[in-house]
Amino acid sequence: MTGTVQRTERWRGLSAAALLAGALGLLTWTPALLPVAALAVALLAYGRVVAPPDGTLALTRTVSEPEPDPGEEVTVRLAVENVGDRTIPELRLVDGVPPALGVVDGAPSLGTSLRPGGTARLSYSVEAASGAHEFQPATALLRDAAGVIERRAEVEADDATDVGEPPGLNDGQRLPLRAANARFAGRQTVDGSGSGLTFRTIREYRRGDPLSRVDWRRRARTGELATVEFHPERSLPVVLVVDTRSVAAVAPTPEGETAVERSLSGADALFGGLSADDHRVGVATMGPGRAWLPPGRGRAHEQRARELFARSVEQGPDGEDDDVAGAGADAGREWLRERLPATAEVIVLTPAVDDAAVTLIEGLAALGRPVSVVSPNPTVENTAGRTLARFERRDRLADVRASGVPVVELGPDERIERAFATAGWSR
Amino acid sequence: MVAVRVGRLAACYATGAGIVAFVLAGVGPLATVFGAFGLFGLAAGSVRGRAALVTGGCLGQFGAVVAGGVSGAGTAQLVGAGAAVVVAWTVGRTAAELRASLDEAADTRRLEATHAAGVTAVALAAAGVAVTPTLLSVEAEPVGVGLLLVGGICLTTALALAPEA
Repeated sequence: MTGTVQRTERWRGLSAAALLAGALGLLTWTPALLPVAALAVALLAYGRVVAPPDGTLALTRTVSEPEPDPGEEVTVRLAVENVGDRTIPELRLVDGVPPALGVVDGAPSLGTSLRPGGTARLSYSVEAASGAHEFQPATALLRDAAGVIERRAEVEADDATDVGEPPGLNDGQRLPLRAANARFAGRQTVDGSGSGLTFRTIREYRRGDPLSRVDWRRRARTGELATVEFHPERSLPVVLVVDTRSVAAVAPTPEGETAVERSLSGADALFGGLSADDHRVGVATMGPGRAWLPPGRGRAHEQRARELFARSVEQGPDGEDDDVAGAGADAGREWLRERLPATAEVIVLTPAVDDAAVTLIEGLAALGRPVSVVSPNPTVENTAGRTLARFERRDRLADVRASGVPVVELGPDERIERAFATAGWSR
Repeated sequence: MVAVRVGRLAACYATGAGIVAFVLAGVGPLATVFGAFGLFGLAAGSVRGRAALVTGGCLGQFGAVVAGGVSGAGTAQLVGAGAAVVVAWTVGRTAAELRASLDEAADTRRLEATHAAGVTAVALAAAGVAVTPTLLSVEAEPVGVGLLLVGGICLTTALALAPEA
């Protein structure tokens, strides 16, 4: 087994004890203390000569329900077998539970000793979250019998274990977009005339009009040539900007979905609806490690978006944020400005729990892009501090609205479809 | 199966080893006082999961061993007490470490039992190595004793300061 080997320094100070006992034995002429010093020296020698523990572990992980609904309890069973030919006197194992899955029962860790061929088992339950989550390798710590030297290694399960399914994107939430300045053909009806599906008017035939748009019935009836005109339909590039920073990973209750998870669920629903309307949809995440998916269409694009949402849920709030506060807000705006198509409409999904989010929204609006905000509300009012946080968030959203940016708020238990319907965003 | 809290078995074993050390080393008033304070710190640190308290308690018990030696305790008695202190120190710190590093509901009884047995075996083997020379009857020359002392100091220093392999 590979991994890093190190001494635990558990007997640090034993050498001083040996010298002290020996010296006091000499000074007080107490021969009985010299063997005590020798005892310490013998233990130090053991610590030097003992070999790092070795062993080969096979890990098998099973879950009771591979594709649970969010909030459903899933039982995880782990079996670790010593397939090597040496006894492992001390084994500590911690399973690689995805950060988005909370352990609700049992423990994902184990301490045991394993003979060759021996197997230890553990079982625990997690609460499923939206999206697909892959278990990480378990961390194993092997020590000798006295625990003075250790080997740390990561152990992969026999099969990669996933819990949950990638978000479905086809039954998403449709909404009318603010801009009508797209340049690509599609299903968003805009002002003007041209080709499309929605009837606009009939005018006199002009040389060069396509034969497919000639009103042949009128020609048969009256003998006149006329051309049918339709409202042109165009698709808009839309970019969903999701606030996945650690500061946004807050929930009204310890067991509740975090605002990041709700933002990603909302983005998922919007992505599906906009894609169904033939819009070209892109995604940007502003959390640990910014991610960018340029606007696009098609199955491969949807697959990439699906993976991005799942990865963002899985990453959770851990990790270094690309801070959006202060100078970071400008950096985030610049980062987006470099990538946003000139005609793109932006929908920001953020709980707006800090001023940086507002700075980013206002910065995007200042770039001349039509911006809308979807804001899951993670605040509660059960303490004075939380009530204050709620008021501060309300003020921030009021500022956003005052700058002409429409905001849809999602209540703690409110479904996104209902929130859009209430706000008049549904079609 | 009765649920045992993580580290509890090791804490009990460490306290037991501390009691053994206290009984063996407490031959005089000073040794008894050192041993009692040490035992209290060791037990409290093991049960509450405080490694520093465990180390402090074992330091007190080591003081009791030294004081007991000066008060006239026998070699086997002192070496046994020293070995018991090492066992208490090591297992007590393991109890604290397990509580800090593993989940409260984790099953660690087998690890704790194996670890306690392993440390006890190593400490007894070391005690055997330390006591064996005292069983031999030799004529000690002053030069020989001096060389032995210098060798012991060099060996101790080398073991403590030798770089990692």
